[in-house]
Amino acid sequence: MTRYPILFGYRDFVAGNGFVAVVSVSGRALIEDDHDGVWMIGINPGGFDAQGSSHQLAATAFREEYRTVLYDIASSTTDFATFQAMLQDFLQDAQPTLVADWDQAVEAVRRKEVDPMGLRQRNSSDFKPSIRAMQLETASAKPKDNPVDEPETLAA
Amino acid sequence: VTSGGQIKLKKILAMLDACAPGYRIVAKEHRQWVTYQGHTYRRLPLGAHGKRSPSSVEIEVGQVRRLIRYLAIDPECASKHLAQLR
Repeated sequence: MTRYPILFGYRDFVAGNGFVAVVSVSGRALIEDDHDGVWMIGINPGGFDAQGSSHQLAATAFREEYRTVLYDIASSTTDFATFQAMLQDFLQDAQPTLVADWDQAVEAVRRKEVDPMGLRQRNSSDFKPSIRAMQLETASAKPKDNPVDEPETLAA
Repeated sequence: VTSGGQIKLKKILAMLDACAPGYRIVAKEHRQWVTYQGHTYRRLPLGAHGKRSPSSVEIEVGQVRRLIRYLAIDPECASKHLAQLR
């Protein structure tokens, strides 16, 4: 099995009960390529994954699954404060064995044992996963609020 | 290339009953969330005809393996209940 440590940054509009928010995440994931196919697994945030027939397709499916989790969180909450709290639970829900796998994968990248798959590499020594929601008020909305993802990078 | 194979959701729920004592499952709008030992797996599909009707839904073996790993379920117990994992 080959493992690739990935850093990602996604932004989404999410409508909840009585609010609209822009959710920005800076997260980490693991791509695993084995006899089960190619899987992308959330580390922080955790508890979700996606499969594809290639790294790119797994990453695309993972992006959609992440958005689905946000929508499920939004539909589970009745106010913005609870939504924010559930986002933090989602971010912190890291399985320790997966974190260890991610750390080992980073070490393998640093030793140049992993093909970077054309991804830009980014030093992850100071990386801190984060997720935040900014409530949008229609009157103050600006075009710059439109969500744009950051390209995925290989953690090194 | 995948190792192939799918497992019925009904069998996965039976495995959870046997191997993840005290687990909780909650149907959300799009997925079911399974919580066990402080971790929540957020990607179990809903049943085909409503939130709790698992009869016809099947899940890739690879996803089941990842659910088991994420929730730190005893793999031996899981294999006993799900032949496709052996």
